[in-house]
Amino acid sequence: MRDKKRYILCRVRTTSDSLTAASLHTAIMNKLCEFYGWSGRAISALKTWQLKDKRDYFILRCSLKGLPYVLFSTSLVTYINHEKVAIDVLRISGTIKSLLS
Amino acid sequence: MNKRFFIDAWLMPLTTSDAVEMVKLAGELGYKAVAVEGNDEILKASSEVADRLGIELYRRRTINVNIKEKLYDELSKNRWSYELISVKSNERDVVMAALRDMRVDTVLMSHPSAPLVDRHMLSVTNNIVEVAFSDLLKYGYETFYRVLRLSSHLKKDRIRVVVSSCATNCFEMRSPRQLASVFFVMGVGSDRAIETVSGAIIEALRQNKAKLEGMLDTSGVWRIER
Repeated sequence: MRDKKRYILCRVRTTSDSLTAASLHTAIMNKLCEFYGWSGRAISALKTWQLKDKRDYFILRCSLKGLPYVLFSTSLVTYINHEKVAIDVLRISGTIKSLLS
Repeated sequence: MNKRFFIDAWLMPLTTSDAVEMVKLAGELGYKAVAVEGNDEILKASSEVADRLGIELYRRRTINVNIKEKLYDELSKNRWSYELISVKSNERDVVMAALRDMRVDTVLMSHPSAPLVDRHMLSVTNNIVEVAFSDLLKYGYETFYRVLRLSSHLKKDRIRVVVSSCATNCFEMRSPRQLASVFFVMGVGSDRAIETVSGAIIEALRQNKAKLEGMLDTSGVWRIER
């Protein structure tokens, strides 16, 4: 059966402009691995995208089962590339369309 | 638009400019009430911004003591000046006294030196247990272990829990969903987890505010004005 997914709209507050979706993905995955190990990483099935028009806004996609893990991991991220950051979860939805509406 | 009434029960700005920024950010993140700890200048600056944004603001005082007599002294001094009184202690006796004292609103149990919750504590618990999110960022596993133990009692409705950010600057603030995820991730149901940032504490704070304004008698009778 196909796994259900959840899309999370995030805003990253940071002092640097060079934050990319890949670096955000790595930071969240590292936190996930720290607390839940490889199984947590596998369950969450995380993907990240950066919005084109708003550079500090990101979309995260994870499995429904991994949603609590991802939410918790995003709140624990405090540094990316030695820059202080804070990730705000703004909205959670089942489709990208309703996430951005 | 969120229908839930979210509260961040502990903001601890160090300067007035920080206070202004943090209250503004709390509004952006979806909080409808905040409890701020700080001196008169910080409280005044926060109050002005909160009024402008339509956020309820409560004054908070955290009593950090390790002797029971000192706790009672501090409570009698501060109870009628602040809406939210919280107690932080490393001593089991003091924590137990705070958990059952009616003048206390919350007891902090997330710092690594806090005593672990056991059935003796649960039997006297009358007040809300508080988890500070900044402890999780600062101490990691030590706090995680304590929160995990609390979560098993929360699942069985043995205690009431509130999660606060304990932020000293904007970078330590998190959205209500993220604060709630602390218990959500430990197997507590999503509704019950969200209650930790929007539930019991709000009613207690409103009652305390009404008592301080003279609108609520200590016996629980409300004054109705025409």
